[in-house]
Order: sequence, then C-alpha cells, then structure tokens
Amino acid sequence: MNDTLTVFKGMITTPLFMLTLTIGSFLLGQAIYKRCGRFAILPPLVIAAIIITVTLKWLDVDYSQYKESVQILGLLLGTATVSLAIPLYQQLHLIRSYARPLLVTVIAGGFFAPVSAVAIAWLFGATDLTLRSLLTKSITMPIALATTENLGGLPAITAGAVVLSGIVGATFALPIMNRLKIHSPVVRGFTMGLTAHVIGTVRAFESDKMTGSFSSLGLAITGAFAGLAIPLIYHLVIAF
Amino acid sequence: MRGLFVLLLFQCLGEALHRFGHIALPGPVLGMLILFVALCIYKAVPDSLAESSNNLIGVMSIMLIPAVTGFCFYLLDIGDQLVPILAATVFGTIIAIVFTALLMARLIKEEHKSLDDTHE
Repeated sequence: MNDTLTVFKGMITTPLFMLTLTIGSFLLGQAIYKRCGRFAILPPLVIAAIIITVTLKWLDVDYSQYKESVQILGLLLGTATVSLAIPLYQQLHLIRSYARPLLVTVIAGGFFAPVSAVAIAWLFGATDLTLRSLLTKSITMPIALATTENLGGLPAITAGAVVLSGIVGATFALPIMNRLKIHSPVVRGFTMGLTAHVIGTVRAFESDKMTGSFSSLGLAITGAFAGLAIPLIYHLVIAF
Repeated sequence: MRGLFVLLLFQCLGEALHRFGHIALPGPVLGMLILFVALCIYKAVPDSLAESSNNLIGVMSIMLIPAVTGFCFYLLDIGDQLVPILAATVFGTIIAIVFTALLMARLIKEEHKSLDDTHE
C-alpha cells in the first residue's frame, strides 16, 4: 500500500503531470473568468493559482516540489521578458511625440510608486524581507520577479503584490481619473500601465484602443526603467 | 523557429552580461534592453521575431502561475505579513494613480502651452 503511494507521488511530481495540471487549471480559470463576465478581481491567473494550490495541498505536495517540476516555465518567462523589447520598439513613434512628459512621468512615477508602497508597508509593520519584496509591486511580473530575486526578496510576496496592485489599478484607475476630470487617453492609458502593468492594460484596452496602446507603452517603459532604478532605490531607502 | 532562436540568443547575452559584467540587473531584463537597442539600430522588426514575440506574450500568464501559486502557499503557510502587503498594494496603488495622472496631465498642458507661445 505504502509502495503504491510512493510510486503515485513520484509520478505526480514529474514535470509532465505538473505542467498538465498548470495548463489545465489556466484553461479552467479562463472559462470561469468568461462566465463571470470578465470580472477584473478574478483574472484567470489567480483562479488557476487557487485551483493548483488546493490540488497540491490535497495531494500533499510541497510548493518547492511543484516549483522544481515546472522550472521550464521560469526559463520561458525569461524569454518572454526579452520579447517585451518588440512592442516597446513598435511604439517608438508614440515615445517620440510625447518624449518630455513621458520621460518625466516615468521617472517621477517610477520612484513614487515603490517608495510610497514601501513607506505604507513600513507603517503597517512590514518586516525587512517584505519591504524588499514590495519595491517591484507596480511593474510587470517577469521583471518584478527577476528584480526581487536579485535583491534577496521573496518572489512569492512580489507575485502576490504585483497581482493585487494590478487588480486594484484595473478596478479603480478609471473611476479615480473621472473624478479628477482627466479625460485624455494619453494620460489615462499611461497611468494605468505605469501603476497596474498588464492587468491594468487589459482593462485599458476594454475602454478604447488609444488608452490601451498608451497603457502598454506605460508598462513597457516603466518595466525597463524600474529594472534599472529599483536596485538604486533599494540601496537608498531600505539598505541603510 | 528563427524568431525564438533570436530571443533565446539575446536572453543568453543578457545572462552572460549579468554574470561577467557584474551588473545588478537580471539577465532577462538586460536581454530585453540589448534587443531594444539592437532593434533601434536595425530599424525594423523581422516578421519571425514579431511572431515569436506575439506568441510568447500571449501565453505569458501561464508562466506566471508558479509565482502566484507561491503566494497562495505563502498565505496558507506563513501569511503573517498580509496586512502590510494589502495596505501597500491597495493604498499605494491608489495614491500612485492620483500622483501619476495629475503630474502627467499637468506636463502635457504645459507642453501645449509652451508650443502655443512659440507659435504666437
């Protein structure tokens, strides 16, 4: 009996089974997301992660075992990060026509978002490890994860914070900007990309195409800038 | 396949630069920056590269699942930092939206004004 259990556990923790579980959960997540009227609070990614967590807990598989089995996804995430250079290049004409406002906003906003997040977390009693992991909360996940790992933070916290920020941004950015009487699609889109990365960009495209393009521009420039600036901010704000 | 090869090649370049150049940026981010500079010099995106990039970005959500699953495990197993994490993401994101939107709206207005001034 015990033998069968060992064989079974050995089998389900192979990359084959874990990849099947991961992709299957994602497809299920997509189906549920569409059923619920594309409700931004539950993106397919979050539904999939919940399904996988419940399944792994039920099968008594550790997170470290799961992570090792799906290593290939981490490698491909790196490749996908490299490929973000292409949409960024394709939007070069937009960058040129709004060069100065974009540059100033990305520098100021790119500093403001991580510093304010860390300050708030500190007020609420965050540990050093949490602070380190929250610096990257507004940027696109692949760059955020790689940067956190480099700074010695906990990628699990970063992943959660990035998804939560994206959900908050996608839900509140447009109502807030309506209240502020900001109607320019350039400003609306760029703000959503800068503060809520991909999840905000999906919402921006639902609003209109121009807002969506500026949102993806915002997420790409912020990602590139933050990859450079956040290690610096880390040394300025937390390290001493 | 050619597009995927180019992406992997730039990923390798980024990784090599990270390790040998002792640059604090992660390898994939460096790879992205080098590829961006290369495209600016080449002045066009080859079709195969655009296709591979589109395909990869289209399924990027799946590659992020392990990290988000890690957060679910973290919440279940440790979770003592949930309050500061929630506060930072909810309040932090809302004030960042207000800050960014007001700043950029003002910058664009100023730019238009200075353009109008030069026209007069």
